[in-house]
Amino acid sequence: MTASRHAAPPSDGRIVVHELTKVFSGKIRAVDRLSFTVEPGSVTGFLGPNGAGKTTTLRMVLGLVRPTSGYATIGGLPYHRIDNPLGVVGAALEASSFHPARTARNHLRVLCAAAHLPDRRADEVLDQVGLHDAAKRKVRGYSMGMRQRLGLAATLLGNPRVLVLDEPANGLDPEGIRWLRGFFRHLAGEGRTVLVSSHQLNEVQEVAERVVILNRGQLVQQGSIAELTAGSNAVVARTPAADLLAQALAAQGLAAERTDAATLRVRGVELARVGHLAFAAGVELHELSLERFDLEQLFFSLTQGAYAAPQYGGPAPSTPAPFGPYGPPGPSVASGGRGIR
Amino acid sequence: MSGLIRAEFRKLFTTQVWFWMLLMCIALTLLGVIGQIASTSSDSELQLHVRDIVLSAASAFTYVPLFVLGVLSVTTEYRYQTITATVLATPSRWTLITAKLITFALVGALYALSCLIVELSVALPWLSARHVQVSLSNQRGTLLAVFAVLTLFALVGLGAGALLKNQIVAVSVGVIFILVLDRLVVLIPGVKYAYSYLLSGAVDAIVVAPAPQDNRVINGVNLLSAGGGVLTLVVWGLGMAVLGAGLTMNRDIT
Repeated sequence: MTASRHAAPPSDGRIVVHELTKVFSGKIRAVDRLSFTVEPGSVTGFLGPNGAGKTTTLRMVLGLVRPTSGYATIGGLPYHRIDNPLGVVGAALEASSFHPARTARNHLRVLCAAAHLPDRRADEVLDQVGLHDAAKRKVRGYSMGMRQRLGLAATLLGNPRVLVLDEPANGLDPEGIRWLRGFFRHLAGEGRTVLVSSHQLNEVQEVAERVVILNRGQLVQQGSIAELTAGSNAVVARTPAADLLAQALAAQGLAAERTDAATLRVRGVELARVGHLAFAAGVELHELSLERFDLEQLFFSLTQGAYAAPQYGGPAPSTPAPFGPYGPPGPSVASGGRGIR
Repeated sequence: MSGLIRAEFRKLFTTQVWFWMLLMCIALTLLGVIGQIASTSSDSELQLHVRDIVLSAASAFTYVPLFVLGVLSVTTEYRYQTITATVLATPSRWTLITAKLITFALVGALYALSCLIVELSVALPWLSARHVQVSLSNQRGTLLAVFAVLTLFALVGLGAGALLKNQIVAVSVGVIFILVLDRLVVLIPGVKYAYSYLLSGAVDAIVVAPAPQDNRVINGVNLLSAGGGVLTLVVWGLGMAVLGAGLTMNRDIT
């Protein structure tokens, strides 16, 4: 690690995590040689099951937890060497980090003073997250959703170009989730670098261009959502003449996967083309649908078995399912649908 | 640093703990004053106790609430996890603890001033009514002792909080130590000479009158000079703060 001792403002918002490892108490390996990069101006989802090491990683990025080995930098500097860190990085790590007897406004005014920011910023960011009317209420009277918003307000105080958010959707009700989605879009629209860990995969998929997926402290996948799910959509055709349709598809060089006696799954082909081939071959169709491979499926296929409890209706899978690189497909939906929610 | 000190003041004055601790300090001070004046029937004898009466703001255990306030300045951050936001704004634990030390030295001085104002506004008219002459210019050393004890106990509390981190442990162990344990040391042969360097011994060194010399000997243990008492409290406060910043507070915040 060769970061300069001088803390010039980071020129970009790139977050670099290199071979980051954290071993607690000499035996619990929470993060294991983790490397990934969050590009400036992108929204990156940081995903993984509970206990995967997401929070520990974020805390190492923010200098709250000292790595056992490896390093993390923001704009080329480790967090503790950034001058005026709140002006460069905004971080929301937990919704309960507030003194219950302090008002939201005063909580933010404390941070304003520490970061040499004008007090009016406290009111501005409270407006931004919709807490203006509750600004002078003590935090002990706040709901979980309001605390989440207050945490997000704190991240915006210094108008930073990098935001690190740990499970910001925890405890939010549907209205809060909708608000958060708009908030993410707003941040992304402003060109900020956002690294957000979340279990709300749908929300992440809505706003993130890239994902980093972690399991048992190790990187299992990173890249853009488009790249990771490319070519994975499948056309599902249910027909009493499955053999005939399979032959028609094979004649066009399309491999069909037989999932049961009457169902074929074909990857890497347009829905309309399968329909046309079936029509041309005189095959009667009972269903023709597009099965989208989304982030949720990707996530479960890559992290299955991790800390899994028995599922309702059967035990959790202990070995990767034999459905190709992305695991088992999700349920069929009508063309244009978005898979199970 | 000025911003951090302002932030620390805001942390303190945006909850009510400061008010209750100040009320406790003032109540203890008044108890000391009223007790001493009311229990002395002779006016001429009262004239001899003017120094003790002025010292009530420091000697009537008023330093205990200051100690607790200092402890809370650090332990509350851990209890409510505000330490995360604090360290994100100020990653250096050394800068943070320095800001807290400066802030709580000023807070200790403000509390001392408040106690003295209340104390004198009660004591001076009362003593005057009992024909006791009080010249504050002759009590400058006494007033300084009040400032020294209260200010330094805020720092000692802060140091204890930084070192122990756990609020209940730091407050209970600290208060029991100050009120009971270190006072027992002077009674134990063999270790009693350590008393001079403990917190109560340092307070005694500051508040006990320089003469007669006999008063400055407790169970055969000579107290340090007033300056030595101040230095002892400084070492306790800064020592624990440095250890706390370097060891306890420097640990991972998970």
